[in-house]
Amino acid sequence: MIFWLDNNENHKDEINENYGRELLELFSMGVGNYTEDDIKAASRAFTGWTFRQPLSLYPNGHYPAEFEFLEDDHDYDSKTFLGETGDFDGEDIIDIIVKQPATARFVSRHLYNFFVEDELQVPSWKTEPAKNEDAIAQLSKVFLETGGDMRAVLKEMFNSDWFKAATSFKKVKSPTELIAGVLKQTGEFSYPVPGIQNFAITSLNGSLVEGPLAIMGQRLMNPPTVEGWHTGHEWIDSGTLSERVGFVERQFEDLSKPGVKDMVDRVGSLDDDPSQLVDRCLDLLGSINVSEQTYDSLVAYAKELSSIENDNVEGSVGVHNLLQMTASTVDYQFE
Amino acid sequence: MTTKPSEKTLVVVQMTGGNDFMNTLVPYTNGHYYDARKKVVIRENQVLPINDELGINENAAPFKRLYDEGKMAIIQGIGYPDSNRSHFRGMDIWHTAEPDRVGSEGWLGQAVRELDPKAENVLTGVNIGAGLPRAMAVTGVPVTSVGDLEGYGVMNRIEQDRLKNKALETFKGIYGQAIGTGPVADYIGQTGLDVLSGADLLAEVADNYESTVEYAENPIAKSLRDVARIHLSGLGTRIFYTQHGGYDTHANELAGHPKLMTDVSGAISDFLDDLEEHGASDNVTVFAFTEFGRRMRDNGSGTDHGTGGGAFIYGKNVQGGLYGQYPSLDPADWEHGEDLKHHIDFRGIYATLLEQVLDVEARPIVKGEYEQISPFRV
Repeated sequence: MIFWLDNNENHKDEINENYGRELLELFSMGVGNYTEDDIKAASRAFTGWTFRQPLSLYPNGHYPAEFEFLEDDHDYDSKTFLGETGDFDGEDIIDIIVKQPATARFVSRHLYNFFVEDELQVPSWKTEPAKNEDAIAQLSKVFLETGGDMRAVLKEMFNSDWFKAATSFKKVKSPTELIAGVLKQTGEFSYPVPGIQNFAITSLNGSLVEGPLAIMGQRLMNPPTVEGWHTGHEWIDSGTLSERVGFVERQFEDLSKPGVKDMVDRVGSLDDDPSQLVDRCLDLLGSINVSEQTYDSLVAYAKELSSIENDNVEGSVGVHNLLQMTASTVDYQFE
Repeated sequence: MTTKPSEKTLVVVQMTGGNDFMNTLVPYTNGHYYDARKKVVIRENQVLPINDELGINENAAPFKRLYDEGKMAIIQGIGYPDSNRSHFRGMDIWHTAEPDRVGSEGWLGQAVRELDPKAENVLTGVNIGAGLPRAMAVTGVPVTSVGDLEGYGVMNRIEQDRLKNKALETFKGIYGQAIGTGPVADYIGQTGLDVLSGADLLAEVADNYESTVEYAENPIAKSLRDVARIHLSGLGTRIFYTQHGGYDTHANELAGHPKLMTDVSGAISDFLDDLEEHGASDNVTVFAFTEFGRRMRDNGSGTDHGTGGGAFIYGKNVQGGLYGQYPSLDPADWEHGEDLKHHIDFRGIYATLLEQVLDVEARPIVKGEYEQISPFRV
């Protein structure tokens, strides 16, 4: 994070505000809860925080850097930050940040957004209320009471009634979640083996082709901006939706994958009752809830598959076609 | 709804990461340049001079050719006010044309809305690449994003006609029914229907296209070839958008930047040649931009975020040459310590493109009056 936000360029005599600014804006309090002077004070407190690269980064590969504090490059003068004055260093700044109600609220909203349901994009949090204000108040209270003990805050969330009541179908799957979920179901990779990285290759690695994860809009370790990815429904556009549907088509048509074969065997034969076929598909693909209309469409599709099979039309049809369609629904895009 | 590719069309190439303008259009006789750039420097023998002061990086030889042919306008010293050197803020500003607040509507998405107010053609705006850039995004305005042209659409892999028809009908039913069940489901449902309309139109693109131009094998060449294929199919697209990544050259710039120059210059010139071969070059304008320039001084291996970059306009209809002034390299004129000052507000260039290429009123999109340039042949 020091490298990412240029704190290695933040010197006693030449302040670089990137780290101080983003710490406040993106990672703790959110915009509007501090002044430009607070940013300057925070940045001064983090001077001297840098890293060293024990082995050179190039050309032999990537070696991890180590944290380093350069006393000579640290600004020991007095600073005023969020109303408190002292010769603060970076840890003092973090202690002060953690005491702020704005931090408790901002972190709680992030947790709720990540674990419970999609919120609006972060920049609008300043003006728009949370979807569940009571839940945010409950988490914020624990955050402030425990001095920001994340374990206590998470425990509060996981034990709450609203968490248990709202754990599914309120969030759009990220590309990574969609792909990891499908790969788990196809059973092709039971542990990380060579080849699995192809799902994540991108032109940024020098590849000529983009892997499905990139086409769906998520290049791992390469968010489009320091702000991260825009999540929720912003994962979906016409190109990423094409790839989401195309990906499950490709994965679920290959009966040589053990998980696909297993699912096909368990769904049964196209001669079975179409509603039962659909029920089993929905269950096997992750206990998906679908709307009544979608359910009816899937049942009609199952009937048509059976009819095509019975008419001996050239080309194979099978229950895998029903699995593909079930995983192509609107509802499947949610988790 | 298809039209012949005779309407004026804008192709935007986003050079993501902050292109080093000084190492693209090199002030090869300026002492201040060599004073500031100790290591990450392009020497006099590595430039293709366009005059006694400036030369194009030799790795971008196709740009020199386009410049000599009068098809390349170089906009020197473009930027936005009060740069904070942040990528995400910088790109946000370029995407929404709003330097003073966080805007939510992309400038080109707004142009798409003006060009096709009833949203009759989902291909009026087309993005090539993964993920829709905010520049193209406006709620309720359909813009097609093509990550993989061959794979675009759904149920593509089903070969049997009867099954395919039923599969498409089922998909359409499911996505259509989702509309009206909540804002997110509405959006996803509408996107699904847009995919179907776009896929119908795009299905013939690959078969329709033939060309003797051989694009190089790299991502930007592939993207611009896709633009050519779609454009030449005459599907009514007025705005194309694509991105070329890798310009954030904090480290190892001399190893990475030359290839970027080679790839982007080759791709753009091949694209223009391709249009020329098909007699379709008169109405297509390419605009290449980046979010900011790099700093005056290098850091030993690369260059850090700066301001005052450059942008480029290409096309047969372009009045080639230099526009604006090269930012002063004299340390007395630097701002923010060691940044080049910009002279041209990017919103003036947007206004130029909106009004002179797309015939869309610029004022509501760029939120004011900004000085335009006249980079097109009359």
